[in-house]
Amino acid sequence: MKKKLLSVVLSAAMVSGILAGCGEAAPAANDAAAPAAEASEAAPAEDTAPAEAGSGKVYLLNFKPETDEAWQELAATYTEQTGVPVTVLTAADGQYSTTLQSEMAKSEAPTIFNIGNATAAQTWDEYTYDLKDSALYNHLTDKSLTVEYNGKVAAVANCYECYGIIYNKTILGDYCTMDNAVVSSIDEINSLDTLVAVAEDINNRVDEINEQFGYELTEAFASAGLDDGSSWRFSGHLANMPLYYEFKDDNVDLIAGEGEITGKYLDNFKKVWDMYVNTSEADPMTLNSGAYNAETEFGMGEAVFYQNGDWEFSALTNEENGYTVTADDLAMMPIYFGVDDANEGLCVGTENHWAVNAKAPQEDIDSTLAFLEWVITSDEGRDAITNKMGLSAPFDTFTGDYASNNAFAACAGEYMANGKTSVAWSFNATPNVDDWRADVVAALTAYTTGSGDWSAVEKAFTEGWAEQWKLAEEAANN
Amino acid sequence: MEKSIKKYFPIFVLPTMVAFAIGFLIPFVYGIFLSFCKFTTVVDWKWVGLQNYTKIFVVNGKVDNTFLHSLWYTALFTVVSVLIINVVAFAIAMLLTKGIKGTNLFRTVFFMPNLIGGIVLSYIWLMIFNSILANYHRTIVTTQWDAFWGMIIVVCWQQIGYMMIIYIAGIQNIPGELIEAAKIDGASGRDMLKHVTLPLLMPTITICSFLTLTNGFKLFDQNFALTGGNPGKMSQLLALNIYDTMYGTTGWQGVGQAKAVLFFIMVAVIAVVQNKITTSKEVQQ
Amino acid sequence: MAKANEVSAVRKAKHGWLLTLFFSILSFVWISPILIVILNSFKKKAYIFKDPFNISSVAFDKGFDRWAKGISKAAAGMLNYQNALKKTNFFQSFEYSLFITVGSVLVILLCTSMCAWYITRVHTKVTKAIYLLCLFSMIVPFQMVMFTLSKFANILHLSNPVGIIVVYLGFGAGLAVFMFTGFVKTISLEIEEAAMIDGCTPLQTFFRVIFPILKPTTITIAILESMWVWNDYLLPSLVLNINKYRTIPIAVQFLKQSHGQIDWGAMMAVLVMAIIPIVIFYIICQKYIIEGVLAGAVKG
Repeated sequence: MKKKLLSVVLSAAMVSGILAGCGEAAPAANDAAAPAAEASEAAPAEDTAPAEAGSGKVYLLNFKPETDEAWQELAATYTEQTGVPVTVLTAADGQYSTTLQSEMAKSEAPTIFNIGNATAAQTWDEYTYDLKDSALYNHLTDKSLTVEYNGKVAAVANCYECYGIIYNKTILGDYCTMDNAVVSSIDEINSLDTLVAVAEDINNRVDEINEQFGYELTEAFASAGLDDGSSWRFSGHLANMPLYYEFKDDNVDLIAGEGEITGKYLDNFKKVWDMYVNTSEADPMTLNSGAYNAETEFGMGEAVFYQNGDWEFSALTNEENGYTVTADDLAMMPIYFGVDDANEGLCVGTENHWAVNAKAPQEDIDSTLAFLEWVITSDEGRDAITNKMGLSAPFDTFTGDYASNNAFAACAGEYMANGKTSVAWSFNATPNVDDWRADVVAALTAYTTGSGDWSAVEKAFTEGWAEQWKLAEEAANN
Repeated sequence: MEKSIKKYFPIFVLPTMVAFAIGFLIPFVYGIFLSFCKFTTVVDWKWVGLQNYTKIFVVNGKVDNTFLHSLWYTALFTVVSVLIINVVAFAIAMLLTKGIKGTNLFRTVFFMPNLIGGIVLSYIWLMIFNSILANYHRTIVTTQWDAFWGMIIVVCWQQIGYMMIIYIAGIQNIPGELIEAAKIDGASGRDMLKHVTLPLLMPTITICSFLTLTNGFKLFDQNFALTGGNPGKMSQLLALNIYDTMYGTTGWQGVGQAKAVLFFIMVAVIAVVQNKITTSKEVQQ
Repeated sequence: MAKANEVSAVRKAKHGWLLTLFFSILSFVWISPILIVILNSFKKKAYIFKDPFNISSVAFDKGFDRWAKGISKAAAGMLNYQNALKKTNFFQSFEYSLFITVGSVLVILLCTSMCAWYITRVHTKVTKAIYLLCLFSMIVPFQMVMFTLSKFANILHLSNPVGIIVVYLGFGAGLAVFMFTGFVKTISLEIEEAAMIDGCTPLQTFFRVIFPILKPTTITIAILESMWVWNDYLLPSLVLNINKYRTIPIAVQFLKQSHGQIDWGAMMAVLVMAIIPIVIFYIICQKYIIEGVLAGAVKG
């Protein structure tokens, strides 16, 4: 028994030595191939593998239900190669915080868990291990894709996502060829004003378009549902735009945000929102019903525009769903906001960050870091993330065969290559996310149905922000 | 006789009590303790005294009415649902013990909604409500009253069959001789109901009203799936309000816990009173 | 008594067909949400939301021909079922759900009926306290104990299908004890006393005399508790190791993906598959339920 304990301590010490070495040895993007090769070569050699992988246990609490199967396979592969037990538990949708809270209290708590934003980093502050020296952080291509809190790199993005206005380029292209079309090519849509004009025109001439090209179009924009299954597209993703530009003006960290906002760009928010509502067939009185399914409308070719993100790609192109759009129809443009349209790209960021449980035993932490490094450097890991899970990984090891094959993600890259600035996910700064959004949605609903006015939205947006920020601060300092 | 049974405590009561302690009592006491703490997980708490309780009513130095609102909303909801469910279930049970054709089929049909879980079926109802209400440019969450009646319909639909079975069991338990005797005495249908059936059914009514009462107070799934508390937080029943506090606001798990304790105390008082009232009317056989 | 029933049957027969008609209509309305689920389980995802009441991809008012043609376009055949089986590992989930439900309900019925009889017959402060505690446990919101319960179950290694039965016994005891005591109170003491005088131990008395009398209540409680355990989501999701043991409600939740995408087709199919066995079970048992209830009536 004692002997066993000694060997555990020894190997743990060895591992930490090796890890420290790794961290120093892999500094820049260009060396990315080296550790990858190392890992894949080292793996089959069974004698050395366990020491490298550590003697602890790995327990990943996964956030995305759709990736569960791929993770289970990957975990089994790793255990087979290294002998390190890896458990992957996936929380059901909407149950992550409940599951996390319950699992974290257990004796075998997760060693890797998901941190969505600053709020979560604050809640779990005592549990987040500083990842500054980890291989994970080193391989990260864009160092802003982290959640920093309390002077630590509390969590590192495990994928990046982009969102904007998804559009059907076939229908939109055909529209451009029509007589009296507002624009003659899709490229001309490069500002909010043009977009509004195009959307309004399409919406007014739906029948004409259908007649000429044989579509089944009913509206320009897919319905802007204000039910809980859809409202986050506006209280989260669209709200990001005024937040982003205000943070930018104020010169504060774009992800961390600030405690008081003036809502100076809320007029633009209103303009975009009005466009969504006015150029859609959905009844403004019943937007909060949950009866509208924007994905279906867009997928069936009834709408030209649809504000959402690259995660929609697989749903829209999955044949089993019965949608009429194909991968060739799909493209994404920025949510033009009338502030800096000329330089604006898609919104790129993520709510999926890995955090490592600081309260886990040291050998488990070491094994966990080794596992995560393996995931992003080995062939098996990269294949699983890119091809099986369909994610775009933000690490420099994902090149060539492992680059994302998501058409929307490609759009994001294209805009970047053309010198546009990707919009950061500033909404990750939202204090008490659920509460703040609920109030904004309530006000927005009242405004849209005519039972309230726009000033209530502004109030919920700015005053609600300050209030929730104060509450969150208070909770943190208590 | 009581004495000879008494020493069998370990066999008769202990297994249930041990499980009860594990599954309920200890977590419950621990839960009360946590309502005086700030905590992220249950093993990692900090004593903060009554702070959680004051935060229920005062937020950022201002009075917060959300809890009080959901309190009376829940109370109203419970009263209405208890009344409707019991009256309708009783009526159906009476009619379905008359031996009409197809009785068995009807009983099965009415009972069926119970067989399916609350969350997913609420989504189905949501589709139905919305496709009907859309004609009037309304939704289930246009106002808190749309939400209220929507939830009432779903809950009644799910529970009436449940209660109907218990009432049928009760009605069939009434000795036939008693009914015969009443008939020979020339009692009218209304008299029978008032003086024979209802008094003899009091134990059943106690059980059913207590079950519907606690179901109403604890309702969560249907609230969560059907209205999500919208519009605003106006249709939040207490259980959802507690849940929302635990997850919506950072570091407020303790406040959610405190709300749950307050809620429990109130329901306990109401349930005890209700139980006193109905049991006092039960016929001692 | 049989005679009394005949008399009333004859008296009511006059309005019998009216009532049957009334209940037929009401039954149809009652069951329509379930019919909608069944109908939509054979449709493609895109058309489930578009118009849940329509089996075709085209609205009926666009003319019968077009509507009829649209049916094949909207139909998914058995695709949703295949998907559901594949995605949820349905049969495995079914086994776990069945084991946990049957196990829990049997244990609850046995333990709580014994407990209920004891606390009704023995009048001490302890039994009074137990009864009150059971009442209280029924009104505690689950949210209040969910985290502490999951922690405690974890300490005691109850995160498997056998262990969760203990949790269900504990959490379900309140309702069952409450209902059993309600019934035990109506049983006359004479029968028990006679049995005891004949030399039965309390255990023998309980199992030979009391338990058979309790049958109607037992069946009612069995139904209530089965429905609860079978459909319960939050408790098993927090207590069980959900990697290994996914009950049907847990498996259903995994059809929802992040960003709110839900595979409604598979969801409908799982629902239908989950309902069928219970309906069959209920229809088979209904015979026994009625027999049980009548048996209780004779003795009561």
